[in-house]
Parts: sequence; structure tokens; C-alpha cells
Amino acid sequence: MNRPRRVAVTAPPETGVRSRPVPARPVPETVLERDRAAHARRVRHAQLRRAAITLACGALLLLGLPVLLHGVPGLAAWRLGWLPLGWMLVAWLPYPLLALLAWWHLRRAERAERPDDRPGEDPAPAP
Amino acid sequence: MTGAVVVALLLITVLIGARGVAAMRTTSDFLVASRRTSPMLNAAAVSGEYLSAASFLGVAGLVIKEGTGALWYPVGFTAGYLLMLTLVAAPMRRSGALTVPGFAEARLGSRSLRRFCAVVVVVIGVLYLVPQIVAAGQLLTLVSGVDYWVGVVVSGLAVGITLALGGMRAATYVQAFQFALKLLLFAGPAIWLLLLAGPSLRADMAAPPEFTHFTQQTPVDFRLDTDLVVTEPTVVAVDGVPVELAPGPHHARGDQVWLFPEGAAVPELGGDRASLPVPGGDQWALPLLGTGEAAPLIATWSVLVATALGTMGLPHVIVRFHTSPDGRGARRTAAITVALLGSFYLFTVVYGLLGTVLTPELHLSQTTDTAIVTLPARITDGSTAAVLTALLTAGAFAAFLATSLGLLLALSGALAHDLMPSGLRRLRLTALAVSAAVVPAALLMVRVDVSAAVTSAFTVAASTFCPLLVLGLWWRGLTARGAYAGMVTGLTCSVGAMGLGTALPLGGTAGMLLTQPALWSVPLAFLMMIAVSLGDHVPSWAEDTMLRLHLADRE
Amino acid sequence: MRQANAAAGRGPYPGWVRADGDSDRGGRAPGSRPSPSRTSQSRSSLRPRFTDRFRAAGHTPADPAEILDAGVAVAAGLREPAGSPAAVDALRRLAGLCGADAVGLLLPGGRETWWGPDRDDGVALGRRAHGRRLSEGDLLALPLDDEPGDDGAVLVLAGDVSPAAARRIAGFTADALERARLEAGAAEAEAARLRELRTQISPHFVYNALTTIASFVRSDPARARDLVETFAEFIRHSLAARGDYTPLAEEFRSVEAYLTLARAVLGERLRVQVRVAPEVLPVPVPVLALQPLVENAVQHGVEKDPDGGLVQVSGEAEGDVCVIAVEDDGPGMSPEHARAVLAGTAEGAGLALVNVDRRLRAVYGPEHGLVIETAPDAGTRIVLRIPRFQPGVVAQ
Repeated sequence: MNRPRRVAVTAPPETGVRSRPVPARPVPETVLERDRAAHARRVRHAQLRRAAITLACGALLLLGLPVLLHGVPGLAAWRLGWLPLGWMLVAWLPYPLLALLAWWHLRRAERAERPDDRPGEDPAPAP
Repeated sequence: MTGAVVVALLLITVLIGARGVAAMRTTSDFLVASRRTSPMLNAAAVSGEYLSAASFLGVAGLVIKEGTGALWYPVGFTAGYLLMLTLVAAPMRRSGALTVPGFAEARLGSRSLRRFCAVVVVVIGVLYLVPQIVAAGQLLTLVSGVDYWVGVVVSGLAVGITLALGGMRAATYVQAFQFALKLLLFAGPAIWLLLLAGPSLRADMAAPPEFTHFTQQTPVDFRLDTDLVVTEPTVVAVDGVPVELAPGPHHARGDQVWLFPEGAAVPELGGDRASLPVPGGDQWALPLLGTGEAAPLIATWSVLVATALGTMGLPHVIVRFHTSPDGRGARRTAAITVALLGSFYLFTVVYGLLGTVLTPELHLSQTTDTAIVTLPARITDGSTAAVLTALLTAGAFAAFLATSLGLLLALSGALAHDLMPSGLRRLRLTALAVSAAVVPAALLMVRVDVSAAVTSAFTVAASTFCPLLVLGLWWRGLTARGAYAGMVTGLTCSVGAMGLGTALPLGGTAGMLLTQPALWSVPLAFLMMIAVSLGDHVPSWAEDTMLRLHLADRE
Repeated sequence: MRQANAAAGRGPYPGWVRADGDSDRGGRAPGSRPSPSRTSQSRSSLRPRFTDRFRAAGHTPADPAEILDAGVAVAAGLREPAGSPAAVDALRRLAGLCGADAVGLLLPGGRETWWGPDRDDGVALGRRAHGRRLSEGDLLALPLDDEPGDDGAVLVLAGDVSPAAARRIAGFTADALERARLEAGAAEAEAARLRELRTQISPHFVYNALTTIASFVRSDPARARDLVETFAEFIRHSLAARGDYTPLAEEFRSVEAYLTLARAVLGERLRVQVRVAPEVLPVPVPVLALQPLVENAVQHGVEKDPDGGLVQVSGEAEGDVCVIAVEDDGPGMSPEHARAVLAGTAEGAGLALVNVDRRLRAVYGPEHGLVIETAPDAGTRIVLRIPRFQPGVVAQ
């Protein structure tokens, strides 16, 4: 394969639509129709509520465990089988619980934006 | 042996990145687009990018040094993805912005804010990247016996070469493969070592004996200058010359090897490390951080807050979520990532406990970051130990490479696209320049604990980008001026406090709040952002711009 | 949002109540802030005045570069959307030029920008101006449109500004707005033109595809049906795509539909390799930015060669840029010819490449146009470099 070397070519600058640099582009003025905006407001609120619940559970778990370990120092010494319980509470317990919490939140978050929630088709508006 | 494995691994990684064996799909019937990236694959790629040398090596080392409380670090690293899932993934994906600076511009309409965010990206990126190189340098030093500076330079070169040979692609398949590799090379040896360990060792792991006396003749290889306090007269062979040490403070030079005889009392650590717990002691066994006079509860919370809230602001992670086809895919990716990371971190405790039982003397020389790779030789010998050491080294190096490449790209992107005048947009050159620039920084920062240094990057991210993202994605009232005020507050408080805490070793709760400021700097940044935004005028387009991010895709 | 600000309790100053008699607003504590006129006097002594500079021009000339800079910045800021930080900053500079304490710009349709104190009062005054000049206290509303009407742009100045300076400032602002309006009109026309550019499907290809499908109808009806479906998919994307941008994945689907049809027409002569990294599939690109390039490669690289040829399409991320390349191993062309093709002056070449090139430049800036790598007998490779994220570019 003894091909000639290719040469890179671009359009001459003058034929471009604009020869001056593109101006700083402002934020696109997103304008939502009223129905869509109302729907988006509802969805945002629903998602925020779910997020708050999930995060409260997570915070209770993660910030509460240290309180438990601090309040009951004996946990670090008390053995459950091979390892001290206190260590297991830190080393292993949080991970499955976090994964469960994530799965639970995912399901609720996806349900919150299911298409049957859309305006016009929403049979029972949220109280 | 180990070197060969590391080189082989490096070559494999580079090859996969450069010649799209698995990195790109080759199809004869070219049905590409219908096969979209699955959340599982993408979550593996996120985890592959995220699990750094700090996770692979650093946490286990911190367990030896700071006690079982160090196990909270990976909990925070994982919990970060719960926040990502609940608050960031879906709306951020819908915004289309690949980076936080891009998001700031698109949401708040301010170019100068974008540039400021890019500066923050550079700060976070450097704080994260330098410890990675430090860890890789120490690792190479340990397994091949070269000088530390050689290890650092080789690590820097490895990143640069991988980048030049196709690392710019940041390919999803490569990162997903890296995760599988890391998980295998972390979990496999852990199980293998547990099986090799006899019943008495396993019993010791459940209750490591307090490290007060040397149970056998033990060399301590000081690679840094260290202050020690000897408690009883001890005869120590310093570089082979017997020296009698009287009780009291002594100084070990960074190039010395001290050989302690069997049965000798273990000296205490002096200087600013005096507050560290003794491996196996009561303080060590309490699974909370900041033991000593510092309030353990507050110290643990502060690390948890920093790591969990900082994850969303890491510059190399967010871009990965944009491989998902839509917001829903991004959310699923985040959820699966929580599970994948959890399965990796389940094994850290094994290495931490093994290290405390087998290599407590590393606590004296402060070289616990590389404890993991020394373990196989203590449990078994011959080729099994060599193979295990090689596997662990390879895994740690893979972790280092994957994270460093992602960070380097994010860092160079911020420099080349947001901070430099246009026309100088040479991403590859910038990336090479950055990788060359972090090597000297890594040479200067030998002393840092890898995990602790990485946590400082999380702290800065939590104090700046976390409020920006959370408020920007969910609150219409955020304004550019408010975002500025909050981020400047968060940046100066977190960086200033950590710098002050390092300069003035105060000790106690006050010192801890300086070195781990997340507990107060994050709420302060939030408050500042909200307060200034409330006093500012909210543009009329702000609400719709924010609401659009919550509309499900295809509506 | 405006209501929210009013409700936040910005007390109107006493002059408002007398002029307007709006009692429910006047009920709020009037003395909650220092008198605006006093403020303006104390400030005016500190700030150089536009008018003073004019008067003093003969003796101590003010730095004209500074004033021109400010003027340019104001004009640029007024192009930004109402209420954006850039627009507010433009008004701040405008105030600096004439010595006003506050400046507001009210645009038709309820859009407004305000810099300085007294927002609510000033906006209300401006809304009542209805094309007339109106003053109240030290607030002054100046309509910017020549024809008096209900809904025109109004400039509101607060503070001690001389009538001459106010007139000049109003004239300057009206000019800047007019220019911004013309530019926006040009941009809209441009967008419409770009949309038009993308709907050009080669009639040659449609004809070939349909005759090929027709030839299968008897011999292989199942295949003919598949091909008709593929054709429908291709047409749907090309003609019926909703917005201006589409995810690259969708664009690739159109390419695949095209290639399936082209393979039906050309048979074994067309060999194809498509390699796409998953991380670029969601990148938004202008609709039909890729398909014309593939069509071009098939037409010039494969169709003319009796032995056929290979077309390779690849897409991958390089940092925050998405690099797409379309390559054929056909006869290639001289660089001069390639340049002429991109300039739209080559004879016998279609406008497909020019159109894609212009659209890319218009959307992403001049450095993001097509790059053609070619030489005689060396095949052709066309490269697109598309930013993975560009504010304002969102797939529909």
C-alpha cells in the first residue's frame, strides 16, 4: 500500500456563515408551556420528597451508627461469631443497606415519573 | 515477577484503550445505535474510574495506623453515590453538561462563574491526583526497590504514555474492564490469604494483640524522618551498627533501617503523630475516627459528610453519567454503582486486620499505605507469595492508572477549555503538561497519607460543588452571584482550614475541626449561597431552566 | 418573581404615594430607607459624570477609549436576555456613563432588567409610561420607540441626570436594541435557512432505492417489506425529526438505514464497517450532520468503482470532544478540489458537504467545520469534531 499522503483541508474562512467568532451564547431561553411547566413542578416536588425520605434514612443510618458505637463502647468488644459486632457494623452492614436503599429509591423515583402521571391523564391529582 | 505482571497489565490496558478490541464495537450488520449502553456496564465504568489507589491501598493502611474507625472512609465513598442517585444523576444528565463549569454556565448564564468553577476543578483535581501518584510511586518503590523519585517519575510517565496512546478516549469498556479487574484482584487475594492463614492467625485477626513488644526480630525501614519516644533501654541495630537507646525522644533519619530485637518494647511515636493509636490497643479497636482527645463522634461525622457530599463534585465522575442515553439511565447507573462499590469495599477489612496483625511495625515507619502488598510474604512464601504480591500490585496500579487518567482529562479539560484563551485549545498537550507538573508535586508530598489527602479533595468538592449542584438542580432561586458567594466561602474555608490545621498542629477537637472542616464548611457554603441568592434578583428564565431538568425524557 | 420581590417589602418612597395614590402600597413604612435624592447627591459628588465630561471636554479631555469601551460593553450586554447577569451589568455601565443611581430597561412582553435600588417603583413607572416621557421624584421614564404606543421599550433612569444626557443615553440604548433586534432576526433567518439545508435528500438515492425495492417485490417479498420499513425509517428521520438537534444514536440509526438501502442497491460492492464508542451515542448533534457524509462516501468512493469499496464510520470521545470520521478507499481528490467542494464552487459536486460544514460552523464556531483529508488515489476521510456539550444544544 503505497498511497499518496492525504492532505487535511478545511473550508476557506470567508465562505463560512459567519467569519467573526461566535458570540458568547446566552443561556437558551427555555420556555415551557404551562401544562408542561405545571407537570414539571409536580414531578420535581414528588422527586424532592422521595429524595428527602431516602436521604433521611441514609443519614439516620450513617450518622446514627457512630452515635451507637460511641454510646455503647461495649459493642466493639462484643463478639458475634468471629469478629466483634462493632467492627461488622462498620465494615459490612452499611453496604447492603445502602444498596437496598438505592434500589428502593430507584423504584420510587421511576414510578414518580411514569407517563400516567402526565397532565390530562392524571385521574387523581395528588392531595 | 511483580514487575513483569505490572508491565503486562499496563500493556493490556494501553492496548485495549488504543486499539478498540473491546473498546469499540465492530459490527458487520452495523446495528450500533439500537444497542444502547446498559446501566450495568456504565455503573461498572463509573466504579472503575472511581476506585482509586486510595481505595485499593490507602484504606487498609489507615486501619493499621488510625484504627478500625478508618473503615468509615469507604462507607462515605459509597454513600456518595446514594446522594448522586437521589439528587444529581438524572437532572444533571438532562442538563447535558459534562462538567460542573459547563453546568454553571448553562443553568446560571454566567461565563465568569464558569471560569471560577474551572479553577475549583483544578484545585480538586490536583488534590486528588497528587496522592494517586504518591501511592503509585511508593508502590513501585516497595516492589522493585528503586528510589522513591524513580517510582514517581515512572508512574507519571505511565499516565502520560497511556494518555498519548489512546487514554484520551476515556472508553467505557476500558473502565468497566478495569473495575472487573480491580474487584478480582482485590477480592481474590483477600479470600486466598484468608484460606492460607492458619486458625491462630484468623483468631488474631479478630482480636489483634496490642503492639507493645516486638514478637520477633523486626527491621523497621524508615523512609521518612520520624520522631520516636523510647520507653525502656533498647539495643537497636541502626543500619547494622548496634546502638543503645536510652528512654526518651529519638530521631530516625529517613534513610535508616532500625533492627529491633525480639521482645524489645515498641517505642511510641513522637511529634505530630503522637496522638495516633497503638495498633491493637483499645483506642484502635473502637470503630470511630479521631481517637485521642478529639471528639470521635464529630471526627467520624466530618469524614462521612466530606466523602458522601464530595463525591458529586469530583470532576472525573460526573462525565461518566453522560454515557447513559437519558436521565433515567443515569439514575439507574448511580443505583447500581452503590451496589458495585459496596461489593468491593466489603474486603477492605480483611486487609486492614491482616496488616495490623502481621505488619504493625509499619505504624512506626508511617509506610502503611503499601502494607497490602507486603502481606502475602508474611503469610506464605515462595511462588504463592510472589503471585499474590504481583496480583495485588497489578490491581493497585490499575486503580492508580484508571483514576489518574480520568482526573488528568478532567483537569486538562478545565484548563484548556475554560481557563485558557481560545486558540490554545490543545487538550492533549495540556494533559501531558499537567502530568509533568504533578510529578514534582508528588515528590514534595511524600509524607501525605493517601486516603487522608484524597479526603481533602472530597472536602473541597463538598464545600463548593455540592451546594452549587444541589441548589442549582432543585431550587429556582439560585443566582450566579449567590453561587459565587457560596463557592468562594466554601473554597476559602475548606482550603484555609486544612492549610491552617496542617501548619498549626493544635490537636483536640479544635484541631480536628481544622483538618476535617467539612462539618462546618459545607453548611456555611450552603447558607451563604442561599442568603446571597435571596437578596439577588432571580431572572425570569430561571424557573423554566431548572424545571426542564426534571421533565422525564421523551416528554 | 416580580411579585415575590414586591412582597419582600421594599418600601416605596413617599413621592410615590402622592403621585399615584396607591394606598395599599403606601401603607408600608415609608421611612425605612434613606431618601433617594440625598443618596444620589452624595453619590454624584464621588462619581464622574458623563455630562461633566462632555462639558469639560475642551479643557481636560476624558479618556475616550474608556468611554468607547463602556459603550461597546453596554451594546454587547443589551443583546443578552432580559434579566441575565450580562444585561444587568450593561445597565450598571450605562449608569456609570450618565451618573444615574439606578437604570432599568423594560422590554415588550413584560421582560425587564434593572440595576440599582428602587426596582419596584421604577418598573411601575415605566409600565405606566405608554410611550410618553414620564418623571416622578427623581425617576425618569423615557420611551425608546419613535412611535408612541402602549407596548414599547422604556428606559428608566433614577437620580440626578441632566435631560440632555438622558436623551443621549436613551438614543444610544435605542440604537443598541435595534441592532440587537436585527441581529436576532438575522440569527432566526439563519436558523430557518439551516433547517432548510438539512431537508435535502438526494433524489438520485431515493429513485435508486425505490427501484431496487421494486425489483425485490416479486422475487423476495419479505426482503422488500423489510426494505420498505427501512426506507420509512430513513425518511422519518430525514424529514420528520422534530428539533434542530438529535442524539448521535438517532443519527446513526439513519445512517444504518441508509447503508442497508445502499447495500440493497449496490450489493456486495459496498463493504461497511461502523465502530462507535458508547460514550458518544448520547451526544446531541445537528440533525442530518452525519448521513450526508456517509452518502457522499458511498457515492464518490464506492459507486463509481466497479470493484466497489469499503466505507468506515467511526465515532469516539476525545476528552470533551466527539470525533466522528467517515472514510472511503475510493479515488480521493486533489486538495484543491476538496477546498473548492467546501467552498461550494466545485463543479459537479453537490452541496451536501457545504451544507453540513456551514451548519457545524454556525452552531459550534468556525473551528468546528468539516476537515477533509484526501489526495488523488488516497481515498477520502472526512472528520467532524463536535463538542460533547455546548450550552443551548439540546437534543429534542
